[in-house]
Amino acid sequence: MRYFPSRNSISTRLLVTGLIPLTLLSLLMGYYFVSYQRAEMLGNLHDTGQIAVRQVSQNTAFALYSGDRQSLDSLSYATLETPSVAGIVFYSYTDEEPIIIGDIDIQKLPLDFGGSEPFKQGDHWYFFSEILSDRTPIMDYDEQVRYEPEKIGWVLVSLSNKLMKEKELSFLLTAATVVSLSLLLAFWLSIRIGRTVADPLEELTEVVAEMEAGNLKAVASEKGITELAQLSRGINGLATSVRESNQLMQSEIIRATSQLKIALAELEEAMQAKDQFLARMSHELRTPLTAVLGFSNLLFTEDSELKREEQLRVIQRCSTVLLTMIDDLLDFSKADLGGFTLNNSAFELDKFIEDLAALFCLKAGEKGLAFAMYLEDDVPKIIYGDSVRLAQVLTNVVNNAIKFTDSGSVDVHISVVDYDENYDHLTFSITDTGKGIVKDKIPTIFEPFTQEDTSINRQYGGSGLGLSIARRLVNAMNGNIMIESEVNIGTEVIFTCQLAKNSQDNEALVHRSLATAIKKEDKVLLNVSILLAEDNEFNQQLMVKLLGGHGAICSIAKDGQEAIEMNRNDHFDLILMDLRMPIIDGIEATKTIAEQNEHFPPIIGLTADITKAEQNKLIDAGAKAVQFKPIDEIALINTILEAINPNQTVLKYSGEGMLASVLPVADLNQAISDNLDNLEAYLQANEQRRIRPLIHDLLGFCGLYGMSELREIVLEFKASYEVMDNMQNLQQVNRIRQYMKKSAVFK
Amino acid sequence: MIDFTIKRRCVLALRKALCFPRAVLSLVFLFACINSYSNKLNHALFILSKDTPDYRRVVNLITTDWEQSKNYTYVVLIQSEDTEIDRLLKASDIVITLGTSAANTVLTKKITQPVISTLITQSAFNSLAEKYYGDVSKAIALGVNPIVLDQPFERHLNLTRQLLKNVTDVGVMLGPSAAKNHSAYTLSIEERNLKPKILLIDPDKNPIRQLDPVVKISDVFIPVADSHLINVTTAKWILQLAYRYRIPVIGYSANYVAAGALASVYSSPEDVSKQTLDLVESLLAEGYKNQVHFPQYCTVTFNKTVAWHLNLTIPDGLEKNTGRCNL
Repeated sequence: MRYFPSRNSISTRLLVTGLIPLTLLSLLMGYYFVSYQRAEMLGNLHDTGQIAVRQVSQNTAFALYSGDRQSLDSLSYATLETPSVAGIVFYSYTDEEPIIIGDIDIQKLPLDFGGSEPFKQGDHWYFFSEILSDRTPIMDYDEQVRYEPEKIGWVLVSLSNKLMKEKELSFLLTAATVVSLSLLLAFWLSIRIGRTVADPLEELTEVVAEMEAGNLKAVASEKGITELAQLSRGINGLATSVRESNQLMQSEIIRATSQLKIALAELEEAMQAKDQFLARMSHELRTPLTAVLGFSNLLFTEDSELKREEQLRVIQRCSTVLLTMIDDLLDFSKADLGGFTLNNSAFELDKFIEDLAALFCLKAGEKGLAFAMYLEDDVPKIIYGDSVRLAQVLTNVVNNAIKFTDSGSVDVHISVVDYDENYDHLTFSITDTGKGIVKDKIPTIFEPFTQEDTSINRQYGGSGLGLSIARRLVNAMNGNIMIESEVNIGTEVIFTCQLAKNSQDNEALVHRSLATAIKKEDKVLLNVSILLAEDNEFNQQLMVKLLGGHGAICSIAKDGQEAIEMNRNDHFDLILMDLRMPIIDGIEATKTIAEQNEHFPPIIGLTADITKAEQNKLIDAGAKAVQFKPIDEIALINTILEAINPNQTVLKYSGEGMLASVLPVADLNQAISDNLDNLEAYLQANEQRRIRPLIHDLLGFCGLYGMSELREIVLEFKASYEVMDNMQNLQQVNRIRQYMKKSAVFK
Repeated sequence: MIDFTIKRRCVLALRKALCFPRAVLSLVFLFACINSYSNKLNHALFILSKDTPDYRRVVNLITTDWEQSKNYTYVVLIQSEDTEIDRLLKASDIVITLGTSAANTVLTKKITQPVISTLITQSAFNSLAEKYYGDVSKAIALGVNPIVLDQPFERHLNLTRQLLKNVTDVGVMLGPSAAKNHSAYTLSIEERNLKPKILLIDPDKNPIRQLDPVVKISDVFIPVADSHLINVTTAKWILQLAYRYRIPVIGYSANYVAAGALASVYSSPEDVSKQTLDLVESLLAEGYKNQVHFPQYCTVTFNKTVAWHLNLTIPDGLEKNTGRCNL
């Protein structure tokens, strides 16, 4: 405990605050009582003097008048016994000498004393009074109202103030003692009060300082003065709260740190994967691009027609690879942005499987692998779903199986795992006898930009997005995908998807079949005037050739500004508007054209930007539809037809399948022709076992390239070849060959 | 028949009295009681020095008697500066003054009607008479009849003798007026077998120092009334000296007894009124009396406290001595 607190401490202030008024009060009280006592004593002295002089003057009148000195002495001595009365002087007007009794020196008195007020001379007070003789009205019937008393002399009584001074001094000492004691008491009380308040506060301050220093376990005493106890409780509560918050915060920090570390590790992994992916993509894109550029250069100098065709085929194949990779990236990006949008429609599952099987057989056959697809009996023939996306998933998984299997077989089993009133849950199981996947790599195999190891990329190529896209597509179809694998034994990939059991689009399925009648030579866009707004010359030429092939008359505007002016000056049935153009871009140009004329021609936007935002911008500006680059010829022609004939619902251009715009006709012609040659050879050799895969291959080509008519012929052949003889079968093969010759697709 | 003038005055006086009952001394209160009017109706004028109860009592006692006889009309006038006093004096058959001041007022007029001057000491009357008439005999000759308050000295001696049977030395203080009859006083004392201790007081000297030796040697002290100054100045000292020496004082007034004298023989209002009635009747019936009238009636009073202190017993016959004086 500190006995000498600082000047600014509470105890000092309380001490000062308490002491000053108490001291002043004590001094004032002391002063007041001393003054009061002094006045009282002086008053008493005066009263004594007045009484004494009055009594003496009244009692001694007779003695003085009669000159009775004895009586005068007797009366005076009685008065002199009164405390403080020191002496008496009598003077009779009939005598010359005053009579002095007691201790009084009349020589020292002033000459003009008199009057009723006492006066002081030296240590004595003097009280003066006339000695009067009353006149008694002893006559009856006296007419005199009043008799003035006769002055017969005076008396002066002297009172010593020695006694008063002694009393005063005594009282002063008493008062000083009392004041001193009061001051001491006040000092002691102030210290006590100060300590009573300050000590708990100082203790509290120390506790708070301790808490401030970090010791939140310090506890303030909750005893003592009520308000301070409340404050202590509050501080303790606050400390507890802060302590708990700190603990919570520390645990949160630890958790967040660990999460951050994980996230950092994941980020590093992702960055690493991304770097690897970029490097891989660079390699994957550069490799076919190098081939395209190299063979394109060779085309300028190559004279031989045969070699030129060979070089063109290489260029086309490499371009296809490039496009596939870009499509993968776009699909992945689309999935990341908002998931896939499934375009569900009714389709025949068995035919769909057969078409794909033909392709897979071809590929498996190239590697000398056995390939088989098993469709269980309970699988419905017609289902409702997105056949393109389903094909994409199946193709991806099966291609991987073929890619990573060097020997053995690849089998596909399709069955119904579950069903209800509305849906069938199909399971696709793809089993291979390939190299397998290391177990701990299986969980990451579906992550984007991930392959089992970098050597795979080097050896087999690929974007690393295939399975990632496949999983997202399966998820979009309410299914799951999983992998079971054993190194050097094989891999089984199983995925499920939910497909609608029945569909109201069965009729549409028929319509679509009927609509395939329209062919290129029908010139569906005959004399349709189209304004093409496109700044890229190569694209201009491609589009002019493509649209011109369908009978359209194309005009070209090299930017948005020119498109606006041309539209103002001429009439066009339709405008194809590229998005990115100099001067004025496609969106702005579309908006201007729409504002220029209420009946402006339908505008179809062309963009390589697959984001929904860009698409919406074009639609908002006034475009009727949007087509993405690279251009799907079939989709483009159908969109144009819909735009210029909005009421025509049946008329649909089918084209030659979904790969018609990317696969060269010559290659297709050659492939089918080779297939037919092999078929004829095996029929002639009567090798029935090899006929079936070839028929599957043919069906695959027909489905993939949209050759519905040819597909019907092949299906017919497939249904009957086992019961027909070789001649009939050869006739069927010939029929197919004839059809090919007639078909424009192969010209 | 009612005197119209008097009646009107009475009404006026009454009105004034109702409006200002105590304010104006000059108001005339008319107490006229007009009875049957005889063949000779006498009209009296009372003039009072002051409106005191004693004076009123004297007047009341006289007029009450007159109301029974129905031979008098009267007016009571309190001495003032009223200018009508002359007319009232002229209209009066007889004037009765009460007190020294009233006597002074009337004597200055030197009226021809008879005047009875009552409630006045002999020395005061002598003084006035000498002042306005030259001497007392002239005043009396001109119809002024004083009834003085001074009891004859013998009455004091008789009272002393009856009251204090064992005393021998009788101290007597005589003022300048009484000093002329010094021998008569001595003789009176000696006639009663008492020893006179006569003090002729000098007004210019210290009275105590003059009185002290006489009182000191006396068994009883009798001051004789003199001038007003002598009376007042000496009374206190006489009583104090008597107290000191424990001797009784025989006074000459009721006030003296009240102040400390043992006993007094004096004229009460009843005594004065009786003597005045007697004198009026006498004057109107027999004519002028031409003399100083000493009190015919007297009253004796005692201070029992003083008597008790002096260990004295008041005889029964003296205690209620009032009426025609037999001392």
